[in-house]
Amino acid sequence: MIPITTASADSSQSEGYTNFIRQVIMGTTPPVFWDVTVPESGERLSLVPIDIAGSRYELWTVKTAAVPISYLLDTAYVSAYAPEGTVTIQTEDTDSPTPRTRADRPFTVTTTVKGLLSGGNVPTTSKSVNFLRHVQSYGETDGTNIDRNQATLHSQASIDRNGTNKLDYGVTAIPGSNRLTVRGEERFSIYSIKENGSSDERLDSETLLVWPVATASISGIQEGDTVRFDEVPLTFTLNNLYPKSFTYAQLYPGTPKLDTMGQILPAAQLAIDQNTPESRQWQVGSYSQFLNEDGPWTVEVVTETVFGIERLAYLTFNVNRSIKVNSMISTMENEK
Amino acid sequence: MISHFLATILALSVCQFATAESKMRDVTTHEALSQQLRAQQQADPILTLKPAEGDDPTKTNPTPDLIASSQFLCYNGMATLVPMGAVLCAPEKLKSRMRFTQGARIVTWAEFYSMNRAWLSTVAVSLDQATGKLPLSDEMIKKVKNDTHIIVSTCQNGPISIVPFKTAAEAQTPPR
Repeated sequence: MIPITTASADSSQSEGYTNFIRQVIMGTTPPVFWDVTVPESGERLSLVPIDIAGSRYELWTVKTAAVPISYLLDTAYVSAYAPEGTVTIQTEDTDSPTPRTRADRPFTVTTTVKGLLSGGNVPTTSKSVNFLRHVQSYGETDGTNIDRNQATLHSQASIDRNGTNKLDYGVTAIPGSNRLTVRGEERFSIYSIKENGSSDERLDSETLLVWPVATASISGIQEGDTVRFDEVPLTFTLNNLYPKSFTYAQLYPGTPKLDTMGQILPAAQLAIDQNTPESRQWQVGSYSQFLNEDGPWTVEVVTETVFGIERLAYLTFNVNRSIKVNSMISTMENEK
Repeated sequence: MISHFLATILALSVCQFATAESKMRDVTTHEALSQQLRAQQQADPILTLKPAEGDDPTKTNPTPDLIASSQFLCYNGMATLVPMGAVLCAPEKLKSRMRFTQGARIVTWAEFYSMNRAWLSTVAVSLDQATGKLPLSDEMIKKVKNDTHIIVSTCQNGPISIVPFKTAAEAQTPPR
């Protein structure tokens, strides 16, 4: 008997989602499907004896909609000989309930395996587990309703010793021709080994969301332009701002220099804290009041995230508002 | 002014990234990331583990979608799911209640059953009966044949699919 717990799903029941726990009892063709009745949050014992074929427990949530959609939240597989495996992912962004990072940032995957056995009489399924890395691009979307069965197996390895493995990755391997705009997910899983009477079942998996690197461009003024009295509107185009970020445009006298704190343009700043990236365009027509001296000025777009402070775009223009009067002064007295 | 004020407040709450030690840098480039990815491919951390080969289990043994492997029961603005194969009997006049009606609210089996006992009934089976190791009792078969309700097989109050019982001889005969 094993406890079935639903504490992880308690928040979704009241928001148009309904949770189901389905136990798939292996060993028959087809397997037997049993919906276990469990409170929104709580646990009970499964009364199915654990045999060689084992059982898979699936935690689903179904969204009420015109066409209902089901989401697989978690699975666990239990059998007489299957070892235990867990996967965790660490990123620099610790604010998200689901591990997430950016296309240019590192992450660490930790696997822990227990219950592996060795010896001649030990079933193959008890001797090792497989560790798999899947990657899947979201394309241009936010990944809503993607078919995760379409993920690509990137690489796999065998783990035949109990203990912990720590794998440090520098950047994501999600496919994409432009590495800055890659968006998608990586899934790291531990699977049991298929053997007579048992199938290869997922013991644990963890998914990492990967969002693109933000980019920006400035238009309206060209690099090296001279600004006099006419105020040329500035347009800032921002793409893929990180879900939790503060982005702004600032002005300062002089040529571009990192770490300069300038005047933030009030109409060109955005703080977000959401689940997906954001793209925006700012039109700024009123900024000449900040240009209080002649000479070169720099306008730049800066974004602040958990990954640091980054300059996304910049350009320098000249301000020249001095008036040169060409005239000749003469008096009538001299002529007398 | 209000929007600027709110933006500032939100920025203060959202972004505590900038510290005295923070150093601004230029955002990375596609070229730099491509180079980093190439280097990583040659020194992939997974290569520190033993190599493995084989089919992708997500393709050979995919987890079937819950809705695709379930039967909807729907009535009076409510709907629920039971495993495919758990509905043992569905009289012709009630078959329209076995598909999802747009606008219905999805609820758990327990809630749905408690509200629809007038036309929905259950047969409690044992695990051995569900897995086909034991046959359904005569009493169960009689109920399934004669009842005017939709009948769902349950085990410990949870709907369960039934694998047909096979005699020992049938079980040993390979399927043709």
